[in-house]
Amino acid sequence: MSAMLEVKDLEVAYGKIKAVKGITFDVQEGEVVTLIGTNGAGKTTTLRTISGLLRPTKGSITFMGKDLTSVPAHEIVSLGLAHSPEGRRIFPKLTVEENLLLGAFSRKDREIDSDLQAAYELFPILEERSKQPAGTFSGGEQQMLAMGRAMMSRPKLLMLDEPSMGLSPLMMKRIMSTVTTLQEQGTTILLVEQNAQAALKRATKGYVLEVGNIVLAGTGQELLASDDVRKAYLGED
Amino acid sequence: MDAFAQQLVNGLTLGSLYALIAVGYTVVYGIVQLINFAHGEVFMIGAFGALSTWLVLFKGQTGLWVLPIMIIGAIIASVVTAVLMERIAYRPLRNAPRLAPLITAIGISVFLQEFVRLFYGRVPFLDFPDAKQKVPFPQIDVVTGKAFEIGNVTIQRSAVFTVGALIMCAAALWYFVNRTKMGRGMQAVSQDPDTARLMGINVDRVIVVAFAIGAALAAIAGVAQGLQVTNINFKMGFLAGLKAFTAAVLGGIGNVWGAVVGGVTLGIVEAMAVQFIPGTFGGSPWKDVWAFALLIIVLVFRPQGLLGAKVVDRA
Ligand SMILES: Nc1ncnc2c1ncn2[C@@H]1O[C@H](COP(=O)(O)OP(=O)(O)OP(=O)(O)O)[C@@H](O)[C@H]1O
Ligand SMILES: [Mg+2]
Repeated sequence: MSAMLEVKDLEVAYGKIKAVKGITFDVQEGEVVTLIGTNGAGKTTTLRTISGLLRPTKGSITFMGKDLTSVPAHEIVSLGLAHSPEGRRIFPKLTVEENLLLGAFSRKDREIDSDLQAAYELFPILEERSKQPAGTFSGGEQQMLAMGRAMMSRPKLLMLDEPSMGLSPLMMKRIMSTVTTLQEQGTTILLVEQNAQAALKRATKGYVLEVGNIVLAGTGQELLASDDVRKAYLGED
Repeated sequence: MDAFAQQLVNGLTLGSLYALIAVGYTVVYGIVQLINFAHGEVFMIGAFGALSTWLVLFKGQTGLWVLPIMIIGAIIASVVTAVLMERIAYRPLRNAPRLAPLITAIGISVFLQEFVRLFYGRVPFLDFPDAKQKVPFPQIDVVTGKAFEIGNVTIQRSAVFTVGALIMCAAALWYFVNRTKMGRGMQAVSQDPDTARLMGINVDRVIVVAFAIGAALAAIAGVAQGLQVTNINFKMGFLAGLKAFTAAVLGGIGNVWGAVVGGVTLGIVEAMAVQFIPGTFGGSPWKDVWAFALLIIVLVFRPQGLLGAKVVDRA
């Protein structure tokens, strides 16, 4: 079986500075794959390149058999690949509902309304505040909105960039359990996290990124058990 | 009191014209942070587009029914000009330093003025008047002619047309921005272009739409100006463009409603200054001074303009 997403020898640079130095990984259908790594490791750069916002200097990205490196960014979401960006990036002056509908911008089918209801079921707070400008939301609420918005495109693969960033432990739990719910509902997930513990617990597979290179790979359980990971990312000696 | 009411009418008329043009500066700025200083020329081309339509199709006719077709001709001329301008001159400079598109805009502006001045009278097969001086603009029934008198206040028919055009355009624009998918996409691009692309929004297309909307409104303003002044010329875009830009900044550049409020405010202030500032500094020679003085005062106390949101740098 060929992978849903296959990244091969990917190199990305900002000017002369290489941020990603030739990484290879894949995501199979139904998996939750996590990329973990410290600040500046190149996680966000990798996701933004997959989404077409950045272009690689080398390597290939194949999503469901299609090479993404020459597809314009705005055409990628309609292939079934959604990206919930780092820092949530909701549209602050638009209402919650308008934000969600923007997630379905590339769709033309008639089931957008029912998916809106599904997003509201996933996060009831969004329905209560559907007419409120999204900029007035708290960080956790904005994260729920960002995830709901990404789901509105009916993605086959959902990429989440640090969904738990800056959230209270309670909210973090809520977001992480939603990741599990989405997986159970059939969405494949590529999860970037600094919160390695929570991410690895849920991951079928994980990759550890360090200054642009993958230094470790394995199943979530293997990485959780690995000494290197425990030292570097779980704050244990 | 009569003088006040009269100046209010005059100011509202002038301000509506400014507002129609100002929207073009502000929608484009809101999307690409570009000040299209050639937008005044888009307004001028609109006026010439309307005139050309009339000369080719309706020469000698003054019935009201020709007006909608003249307006369509004006819109086509302006939109084509603006879209070509974006495609040829601005798009290649999208990632260049800010100064490059600004200088380019001045170049386009001069080019368009000179193009009309030198070639309008020489279009092959068409008997167009020479545009080196003022060219008479057709006076259409109903929207020009005998003014309305209410008490001692005179209301020109062309003024009613101008204010009416602004109201209709503003309503249509409100509907487009808030109630259509493309309008929502435009708002998304103006707030966060990268994330808008993740939503599947084609940013290039949104930019073209922004230029086209601004051009269409400027074209209508061009017709309004022709009806009001009874003639048009290749330089008409300069001062009108500058005033409309002032109006856009006054209202808060990037904010569409700001352009409308800024335009109307500027027009009224100008008209009132002409009437009520006594002595040496009063009268019409000083009206532009007061218009720009108002801009400076507002920018000192409210740099974001009357309605503009505080500009927050994106991380
Ligand atoms: N726009 C940019 N211009 C130049 N360098 C950049 C830019 N964005 C990121 N970098 C650099 O690229 C490297 C990788 O950054 P990236 O944001 O991908 O890391 P990250 O793993 O997502 O980190 P974090 O966990 O802090 O989000 C860093 O060294 C960063 O400084
Ligand atoms: Mg990051």
